[in-house]
Amino acid sequence: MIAREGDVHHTDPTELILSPPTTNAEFGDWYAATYPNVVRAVLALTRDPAAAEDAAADAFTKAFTRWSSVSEMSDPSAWVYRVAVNSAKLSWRRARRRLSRSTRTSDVVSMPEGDTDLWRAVDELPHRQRQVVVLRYVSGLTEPRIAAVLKISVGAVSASLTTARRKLANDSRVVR
Amino acid sequence: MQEDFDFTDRLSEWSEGVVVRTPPAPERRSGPQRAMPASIALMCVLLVAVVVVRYAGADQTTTMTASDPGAEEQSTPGTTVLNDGEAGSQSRVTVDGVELNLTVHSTSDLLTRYIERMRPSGPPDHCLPDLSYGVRTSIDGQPATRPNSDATSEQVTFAHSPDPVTFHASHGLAADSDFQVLANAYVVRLDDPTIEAVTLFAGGVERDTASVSGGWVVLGFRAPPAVDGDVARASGVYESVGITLHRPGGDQYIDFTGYDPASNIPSCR
Repeated sequence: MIAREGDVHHTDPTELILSPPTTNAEFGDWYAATYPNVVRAVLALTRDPAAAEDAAADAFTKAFTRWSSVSEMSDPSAWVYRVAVNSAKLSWRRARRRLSRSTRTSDVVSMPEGDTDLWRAVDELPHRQRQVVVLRYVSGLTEPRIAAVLKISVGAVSASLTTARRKLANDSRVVR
Repeated sequence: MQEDFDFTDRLSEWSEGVVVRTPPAPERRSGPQRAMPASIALMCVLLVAVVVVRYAGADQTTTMTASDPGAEEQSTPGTTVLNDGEAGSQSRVTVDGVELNLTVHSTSDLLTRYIERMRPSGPPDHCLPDLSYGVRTSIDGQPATRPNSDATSEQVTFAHSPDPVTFHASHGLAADSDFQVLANAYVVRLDDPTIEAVTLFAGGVERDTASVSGGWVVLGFRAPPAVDGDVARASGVYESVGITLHRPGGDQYIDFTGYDPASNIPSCR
């Protein structure tokens, strides 16, 4: 079963049973359609291309090895987003420690330069608000799907998004 | 509010500017091994991760000569530095007269994260020797790969490197792998000077063996022929995973098969 916009699922990835993938073609189609957006989301959260590549690879590999279970979820994409986003948390903390270190490179992903001030403002948002902003405006997910990815209520997504938007709209670095 | 729309548009524009080259999808091959149960899923990279135990230090420059396995480092010995928080750090090594800048390409990658979470099976007091650290590297700014690892050869070729580098590699990748795997090379630092070589096993098959030289070992893996040698950011799925550390007094096999993702690797220290 492939993701449908707006679907919400409650499958805990830790409950999945490891099993071999069943349909290469089905997985391949889903992978091709989903991978770039997952990378973009993680990249937006970390702005570390190598970390984005790694997190996406990790998440999709897990999906691959559990495909018979993941494919039965109401929204496999939400699951893989969540795995990747969770994976990116650690990278983000490391990236913040690293600060001025040179940007790592990736064979798979490259990111545009610019809008440093905007990203600084986004980076300073509380973790949840930053996730919601990225998933909404970078990944273009609906609020119900963000709720599915983050395993929180739609109301919590809306509240976080409203607060974040207010902060950003009032941030002098963001306003042009 | 206009400002709101402005920043959301800018985020969307940023997203559109991100270029993603989607790697080939993981693929299960057909064949006799297909029926083999894959009860444990591990990234092949974690095989190479082999032995991350020590987290210490800051950037360090190390010089060694691969053609002289007994060569001693010219820098402070004992502490490996390319630790998990040090992506971007570099080491400079001289191999067969060729100086290479090894850069920690991605310490937050699968390698490190899995190693952080792995616990080898075995008795409760089982531990990994406090000896090594693995990093995915780039060499002179280019990703390091080891495309010739399926040949019985002592030559390791790094992509984009002007000259092949000899690292005393011996065995290579078995061609009958059931899954495509990540092609990558790892430079693993060994802090235990008694270890002469390291062998990687997956699915009961010896995947790679490389000699230790000057405290370093280079281990590689590559996609099997089924994917035409593409470098795929994909997984290996194996029912058993482990390494053997070769010492003059005997070999030590460390089984990662029963790893507990929620636990850390116990160190022998």
